[in-house]
Amino acid sequence: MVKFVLEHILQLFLVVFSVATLTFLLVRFSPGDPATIMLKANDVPASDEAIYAMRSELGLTDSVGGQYIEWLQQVFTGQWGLSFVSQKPVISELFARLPATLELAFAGLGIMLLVTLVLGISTAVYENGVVDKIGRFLSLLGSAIPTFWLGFLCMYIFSVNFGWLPSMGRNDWKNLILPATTLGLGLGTVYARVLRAYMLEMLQQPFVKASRARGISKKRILVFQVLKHALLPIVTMVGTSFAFMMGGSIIVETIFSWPGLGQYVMESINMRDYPVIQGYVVFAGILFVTIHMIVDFIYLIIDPRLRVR
Amino acid sequence: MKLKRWKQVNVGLLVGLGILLSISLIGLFAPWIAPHDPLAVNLAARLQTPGWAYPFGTDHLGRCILSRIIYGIRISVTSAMIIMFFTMLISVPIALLTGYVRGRTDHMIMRIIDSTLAIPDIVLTIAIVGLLGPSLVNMIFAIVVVRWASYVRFIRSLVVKITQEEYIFSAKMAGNSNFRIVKRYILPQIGMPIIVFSALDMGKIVLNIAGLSFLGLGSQPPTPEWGAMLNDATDYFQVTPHVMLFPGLAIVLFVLACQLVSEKLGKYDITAGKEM
Repeated sequence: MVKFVLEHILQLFLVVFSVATLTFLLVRFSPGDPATIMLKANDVPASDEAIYAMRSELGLTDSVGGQYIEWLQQVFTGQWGLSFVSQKPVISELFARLPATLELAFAGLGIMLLVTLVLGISTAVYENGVVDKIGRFLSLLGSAIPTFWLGFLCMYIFSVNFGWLPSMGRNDWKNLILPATTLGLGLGTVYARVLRAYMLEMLQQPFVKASRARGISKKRILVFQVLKHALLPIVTMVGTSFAFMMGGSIIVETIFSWPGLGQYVMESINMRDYPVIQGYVVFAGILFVTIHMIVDFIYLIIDPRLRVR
Repeated sequence: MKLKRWKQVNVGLLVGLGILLSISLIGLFAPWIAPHDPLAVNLAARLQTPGWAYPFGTDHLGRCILSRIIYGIRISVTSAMIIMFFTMLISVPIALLTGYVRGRTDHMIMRIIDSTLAIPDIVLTIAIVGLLGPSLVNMIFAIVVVRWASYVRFIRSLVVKITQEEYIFSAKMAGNSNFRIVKRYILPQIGMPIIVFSALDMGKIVLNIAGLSFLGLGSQPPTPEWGAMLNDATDYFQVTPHVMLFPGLAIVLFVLACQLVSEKLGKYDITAGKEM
């Protein structure tokens, strides 16, 4: 147990360190001068003196090594610098927008799970039947359709054409439906295929034969016995897809004007707000390693066989 | 039975390859095939629905959407190929080195790779382009930087598996140099799986390029690119949905063809292996 926790903390440290280093290098190589950008963001005329003053204020006159150490210190002490635009600590800006993104991600996850379970189980039950063929087609389509195009289609059909659902903003639960569907649908159809394959593989197991010999129908076995075994791959799917949700949310939030992290990072890119972009990547890194840790931990709870190790 | 199976495999493969080949040819001969200049603005004919003069209609500046999609092939497919080339150039040598030599270098490189893979592709790519500034070149650079790690991981796993085969041991016993073993016995073996893997990935890369261009991080206007066209469509599709319909369909068709080829090639490879 101690080893388990230590291993993950080491990994977290490594990820944060490498991401921090990478983003530092990128900012060094990027064409814009942060001091000029910052002056522009605050509507100060960028005279030579003003730029010089700002450069020393931002610590840009220090040596590269000094700046790097300074940046690492900021990352690990948890301030992550100030946003050029709002002048507030990046970390509090990010936390302010986290709930909206989490809400979207969880809703997307819910839609994904729903599609995966319904489609996965029904295609496994009716193996090689009509339902199976439709499921196969959907999963092919699901992995080929770009998220943003799906978003447009959903928006056109359900809010422009029928006027059933709102297409913009975040006011009540109705606003959540379209973005969440856009986010979860494609991945759900793909994972349905994975679940189907896993369930069919489990059907070859001896315990299934034993149940069959007792006269239990194939459908009953699939739903009541095999599905329990499929819990492990489903947990893996949820864990890995969470990463996908966070990434996909950048596109979905832009389309549906959802006020979350994704939209914020796109705004920051347009404003050249470097500290926010840097902070976002570090933030994402920490989030994902944490999720991986939780998933690994759930494995141990679900499957006693893994605890022996 | 066997014959039927072979036929099935080949039909799907041929359809997929046929689509990809025709898309590439259309892109190659774009100036002769496209009915209009993809950049020609004609405000008198803006947002026209599909008709004889403009088969796929026109966009908000009166540019021919069909011609823009045709010229868009050049941007998307060429960028995807450049990305693939550089990814291979970086990842194959590293994978061979780490997978064949193993040891401490291998351990260190894999640690670095694991930590890059801990962050989802899109997030890292967007951040890199965002920091370097949006442009086609920076986008290509960013996608390569993010992609090579998963390629190394995949190719390395193939190399490791082959290195443990007995014929590699006998080749070593017979006094072959490491270089010769890699060239003669390992490279030919990993070729096919890499092709299958990269065929599927080609589709993903095109999706990636379109997504980034949609966000305004890839190719810049007025360059005709599928994702960028969808970005242009954002303000107009509610009234004239054709401005977003056709570029999206182009992306879906290309990605589906890549998937088909990869899937069928994968099967082909397996059956071929079984019959040997």
